[in-house]
Amino acid sequence: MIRINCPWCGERNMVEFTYGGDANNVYPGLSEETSEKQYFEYTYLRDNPCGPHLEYWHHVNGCRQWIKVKRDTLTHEVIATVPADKPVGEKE
Amino acid sequence: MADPAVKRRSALFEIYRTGEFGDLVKGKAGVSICERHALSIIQVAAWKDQTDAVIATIEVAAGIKPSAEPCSAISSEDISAIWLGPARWLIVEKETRDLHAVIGADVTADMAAITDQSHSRCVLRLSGPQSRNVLRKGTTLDMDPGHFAPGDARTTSLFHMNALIHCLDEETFDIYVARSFGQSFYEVIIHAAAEYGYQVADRI
Ligand SMILES: [Zn+2]
Repeated sequence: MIRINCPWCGERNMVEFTYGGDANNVYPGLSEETSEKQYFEYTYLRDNPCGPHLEYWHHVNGCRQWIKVKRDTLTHEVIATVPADKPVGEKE
Repeated sequence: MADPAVKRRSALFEIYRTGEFGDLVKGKAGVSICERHALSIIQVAAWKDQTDAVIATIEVAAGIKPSAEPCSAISSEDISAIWLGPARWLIVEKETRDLHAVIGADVTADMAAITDQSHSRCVLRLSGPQSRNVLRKGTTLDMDPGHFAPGDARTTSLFHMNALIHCLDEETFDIYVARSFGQSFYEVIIHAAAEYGYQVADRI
């Protein structure tokens, strides 16, 4: 069972959270310069990494905050957690 | 409390039955259960950069100072301020006055969103030597007294329901669930408590 360290509530079981998608995916915006190709890639294309992955989780059965979680997809190790509007270390 | 002439009806009004039940050991109940009803339950969510001002203003308006410390609850004899999330609290007391109006008089709309939740919660108080064991059956929280102590309040998943658990003393907890889950919640609690023997007491 994965335990996620909520930046506010501390370490909690993953049953309190819901997965919120790939946190590397950047919304392309609604400006006229945004191409269909950018939208296609934003909507459908994801990397499928084996190893550390940045993802959004929602502490829905807790403080209701969105957080960013750096998790190893191979070992399920939770490497880092931060509030969703903060960067996870300097690598991001 | 829009109209004081309208009496609140408990979500458990059809099934709440006082008495002693379950596997009483030498005639003694290991858990005591009672519904907290009727309560004034007001949620206050401070807008950005208003947290400190809202904390100070709630103290003036309602006589209790909420804490910004996560998973904490500040209680006096009559009223509690329970942390729900960053800049978000539940202010709770026995319903004797229009608490929504009392808080809203000082905490203005540009400081916080104030929502009356009095109608929308079912609250049970669990006490007795087996209360922690009843909760252990339904949550992944660490219920060890050293980790979940008086003055702590945690929102979690309890028997698959979103619940707020407020620890009042070593073996006493107030548990808040959404009203629509009230009957399921009550039933799962009494089933979990049956092996210890339980008493259902008058509402407080
Ligand atoms: Zn949390």
